[in-house]
Amino acid sequence: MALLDGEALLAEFTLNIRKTHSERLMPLIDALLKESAIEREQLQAVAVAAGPGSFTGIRIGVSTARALAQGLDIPAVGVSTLQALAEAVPSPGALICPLLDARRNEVYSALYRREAHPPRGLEMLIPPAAVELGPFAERLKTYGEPIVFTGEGLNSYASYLSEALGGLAVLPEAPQRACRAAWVALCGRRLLEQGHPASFHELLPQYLRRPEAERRLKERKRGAK
Amino acid sequence: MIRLPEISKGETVHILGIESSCDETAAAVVEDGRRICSNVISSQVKLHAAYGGVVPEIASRRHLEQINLIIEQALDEAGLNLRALSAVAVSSGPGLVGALLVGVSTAKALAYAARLPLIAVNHVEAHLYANFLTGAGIRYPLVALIASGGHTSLLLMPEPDEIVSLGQTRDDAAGEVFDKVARAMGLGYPGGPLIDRLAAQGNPAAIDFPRAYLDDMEGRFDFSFSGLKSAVISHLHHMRQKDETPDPADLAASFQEAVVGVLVDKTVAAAREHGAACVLLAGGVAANSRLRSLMREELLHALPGVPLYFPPPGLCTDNAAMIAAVADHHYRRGIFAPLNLNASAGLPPGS
Ligand SMILES: [Zn+2]
Repeated sequence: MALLDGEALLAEFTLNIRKTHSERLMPLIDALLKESAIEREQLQAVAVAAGPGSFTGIRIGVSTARALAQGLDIPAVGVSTLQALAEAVPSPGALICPLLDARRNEVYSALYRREAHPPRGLEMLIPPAAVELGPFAERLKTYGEPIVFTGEGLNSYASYLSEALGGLAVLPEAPQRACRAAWVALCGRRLLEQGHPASFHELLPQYLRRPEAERRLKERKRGAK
Repeated sequence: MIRLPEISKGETVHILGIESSCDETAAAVVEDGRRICSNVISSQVKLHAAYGGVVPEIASRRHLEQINLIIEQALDEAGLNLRALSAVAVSSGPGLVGALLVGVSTAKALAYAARLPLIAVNHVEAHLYANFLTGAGIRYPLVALIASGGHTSLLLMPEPDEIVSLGQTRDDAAGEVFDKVARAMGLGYPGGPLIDRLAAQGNPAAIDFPRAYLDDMEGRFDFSFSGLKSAVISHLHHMRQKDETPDPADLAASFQEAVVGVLVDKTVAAAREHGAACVLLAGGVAANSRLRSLMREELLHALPGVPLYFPPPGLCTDNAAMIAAVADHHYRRGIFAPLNLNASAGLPPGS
């Protein structure tokens, strides 16, 4: 989590230990505010990484953000985890591909291009989806340009990508792979400035995948026809 | 670390309860542990009907979509804003952990934002407290049977605020077997009310289904329904193989009698052993008409003068008024939850 004040990043915590978010999240929010000497009532908006990611993890984050916004009577906004990852790569003109492990032999990914000229926003070339890495890597190859990868999917797939894409794959080290809350906060603020819905009622997870049971029921129904 | 609020003698206590342990998203405001100011429930029954049972991931998603709206409605109907509350209470287990986490995360953030104390409630204990909302003349010691799609528990309250677990189900919950048998019979979902209605026209002695009494001293108040479930399903199977059609009313009545018979016998035995001054029923299965009538009959026969109480149907099934009601007792004793509260799928009552 992070606290953004105007252009300044006041404080940021990143913990990447496999302890439950449920136990950690609220005490860390409390600590972050205390360390920054900010009262909760001074918060003006809350942004949350709304997915994709682990369903339960996303829900803990989104539930917390929604209830904070409801309790403090402030705007709340959900940010794509993939976009927040891509925002961290500043290189003008670069192709940027965030990658998260989606299990079941898939990754959550998307492809962005950092515009070459100011204000150098992100252009979305392939929208976020759960995809099989093999065919997706083939598709990336067709761009014929270096691609900057990011995201914790690299922890499992960095060597696969360097093999599949050869010299085109730019693979940053661990400190640059994590989704940082400061980028979530910044993206959230931009969304709000652009007039994105600000009510917590409209803040929903971006799962990118249906529940397993729903998928199987659909298949059964199709099979029965 | 946990801030203890000052409780003055004459203070009116308003607690917001939040419930999301299974397939109902609910919020309620209760005054002084007894008066329901609001009680809002959003049921997901229809959402899960196509699957013949609750799908945890679908339930969790729906809870998240609904919960803040339900809370808003509960506050509106009570005519209170968050800051006028005394505390926020949430059921933290037992239940589906993903579903519970939505309620727990919401309650923690809401309590934090509004600077209110947080209270964690045991969902099964809360069912028992639903009886306190009806103004029944509760006396101690009491024995309570909590039976629903998610749990089957026999509890003892020797005195106010003290809960001892006497027994639990070892496999399927009572309500769960109703659902599974109804599904095998092709009746639909949820199974409880469908079987209850059908059984009213059948002969409960038509088929002799097995009843597990678990007679070892340790487990004499435990329950097991999976053997009965298998027996009903294999009975259906054999009939179909012989091209016979079972009489659905007789089958429903015989099955229901086997479940209800065990529930009643164990509850009455526990009430006798502990000298209960009253017996309480709660949970969705407490709405079963045969359970109510047989329990009343057997109590009258075995322990005349010991009254039986059960909540109205709306307070039998999962709701948040019961969460707020039990939380009132925690509040008055200064028992609050820290911000690192987690959901627990298997939280035993009395712990
Ligand atoms: Zn329940």
